[in-house]
Amino acid sequence: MMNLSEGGGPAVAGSKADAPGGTPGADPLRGGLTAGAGPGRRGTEPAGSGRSRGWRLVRRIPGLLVGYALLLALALFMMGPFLWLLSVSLMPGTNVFKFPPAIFPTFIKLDNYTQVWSFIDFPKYIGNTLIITGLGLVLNILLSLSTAYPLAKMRFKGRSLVFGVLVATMIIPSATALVVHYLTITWFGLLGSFFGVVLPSAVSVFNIFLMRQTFLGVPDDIRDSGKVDGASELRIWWRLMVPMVKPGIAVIALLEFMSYWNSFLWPIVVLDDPAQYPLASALTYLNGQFAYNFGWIAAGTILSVLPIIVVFLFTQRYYMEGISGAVKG
Amino acid sequence: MRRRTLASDALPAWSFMAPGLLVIGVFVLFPIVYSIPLALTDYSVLGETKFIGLDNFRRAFADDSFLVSLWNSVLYIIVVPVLQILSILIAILVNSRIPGIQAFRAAYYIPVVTSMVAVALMWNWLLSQNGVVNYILITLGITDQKIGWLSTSSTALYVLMFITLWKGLGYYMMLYLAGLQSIPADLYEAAIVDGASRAQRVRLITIPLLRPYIFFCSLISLMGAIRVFDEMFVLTQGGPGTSTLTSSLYIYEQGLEQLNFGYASALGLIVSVIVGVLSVIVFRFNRQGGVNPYG
Repeated sequence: MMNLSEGGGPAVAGSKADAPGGTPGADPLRGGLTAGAGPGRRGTEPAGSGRSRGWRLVRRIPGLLVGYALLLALALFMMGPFLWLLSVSLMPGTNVFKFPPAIFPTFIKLDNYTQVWSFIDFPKYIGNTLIITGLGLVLNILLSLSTAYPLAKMRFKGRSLVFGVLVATMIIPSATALVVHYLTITWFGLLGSFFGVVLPSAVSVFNIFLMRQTFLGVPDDIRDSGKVDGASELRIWWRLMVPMVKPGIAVIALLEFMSYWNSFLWPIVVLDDPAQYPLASALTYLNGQFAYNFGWIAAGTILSVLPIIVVFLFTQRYYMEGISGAVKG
Repeated sequence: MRRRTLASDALPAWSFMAPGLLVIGVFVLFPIVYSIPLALTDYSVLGETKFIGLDNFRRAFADDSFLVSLWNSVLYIIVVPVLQILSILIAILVNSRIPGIQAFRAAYYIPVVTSMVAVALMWNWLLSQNGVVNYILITLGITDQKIGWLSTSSTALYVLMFITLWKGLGYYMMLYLAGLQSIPADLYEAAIVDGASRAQRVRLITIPLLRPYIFFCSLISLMGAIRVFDEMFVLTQGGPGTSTLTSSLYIYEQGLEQLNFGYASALGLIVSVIVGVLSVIVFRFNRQGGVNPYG
């Protein structure tokens, strides 16, 4: 535990409380007893009691510094590759295989971006990606909402059997699924269509599981009151229950957005025309085509990851809420 | 009265579940079931399909590439404990309210949201002989020769594990963070009053209460490790030689590249049985602790 919690209490009484252990909200409970005690009293009191806020802040500085140093080092490790790729993309003519490598940008030019944008039909690939992602999101959300709801809130014969079978499929996954999916999609005549790309993952057991956990947290009274009012099951579900599980929807939406946006293999298997490829598949294609135009590849990669990063940054709050609601169970 | 509720829910319940269960049936259950008869045939795009009994299984256990790929997949499990322990430590580090912490959390999560294609591209360049990684290691004096990390048989698999680790840390960090934030603060309070040290608090409060999360994360991480595919598919194609050939990659090659559907199904069944046994072990192991997140 890092001693990084925000200084909550006005002063801390008792030396034991000097290490709040990063639990927010711990300090105010013990604070207040010695509020206003000046530093002058320190000498006569037992060690640790009656420290002023200023002294406490000073005392926290080393811990904070260590904490920030760790956080920054880790951030560099996680973000470094992206920043370096950005710097390659901004310096046309960089050879990434030259030693010593250029790490920091010495000049900035957007040529790579304008050239790769005009060479590759980005709007089309983004369009393909959006269709696939949108279709996958809607199906996943609707199907996990409808399938999980009875499993959490209704009483019927076979409920535990259905749930047991679902959990079992998580444990015994099919390692050949890709092969059988290919055969199934061929039988359905869906090869070469976006629907064929989305259908095998239109709902996952994991999402149903996640949504069931979220539904379990909704009080039964809500469904009962709807029944008393004579609302239909469909209406109770859509009007009363679904609004209560928004955090779960947010998690599924974000996770599925990521997985569809980034999927590259299955689309290549199903779609025969590269013009139908989503962005990630097109990117693998791009890499094969101009293996030595590093700047273009870097710029293309940056362009493809930017949207998903932006989406994540704007939705991370809901994501956190949803995860804690869903995993707790 | 209760009897009537029982009966009245059945129709709406099945109606609600029908579309979802249909998809699960066709794309989750069917592949598991259908691969059994498929594995007993020589089904491929070429020639007529014949029932060949257990020939595919005999062939599998005599197939060196498959055995190597199986071993590589099992070896990949090394990544699980490292990933989980580091993620817990990072979650503890970011479980505070200091200014800017949200930005750090987001930064750690960005590799998770990035496609493996983009990740592979970056690391492929960074890890090349003249790449930044070698440059940094040589500058720091850790090594004096340029290592082709992904083109050397002895390092390639471990480098891929490192990339899995790098990409997965943020994901598990978020899950563990959710777990940490669900621990009531007054537990730490009480421990502090009782004079527990920081290490004791982590050992006696944080870890036990995080148990359901540790179980959940380890299980999905284990599944991911043994079925690892993307990393080697985009970075090494199983090479150099067969040093990064994993069972998923080999099944893909047999199934969708060479179109030996029957043989690929047999390989898939063998792997599924191994994964099934492993997860039952994990479940047992967890039940002994008495915490069941599926309750």
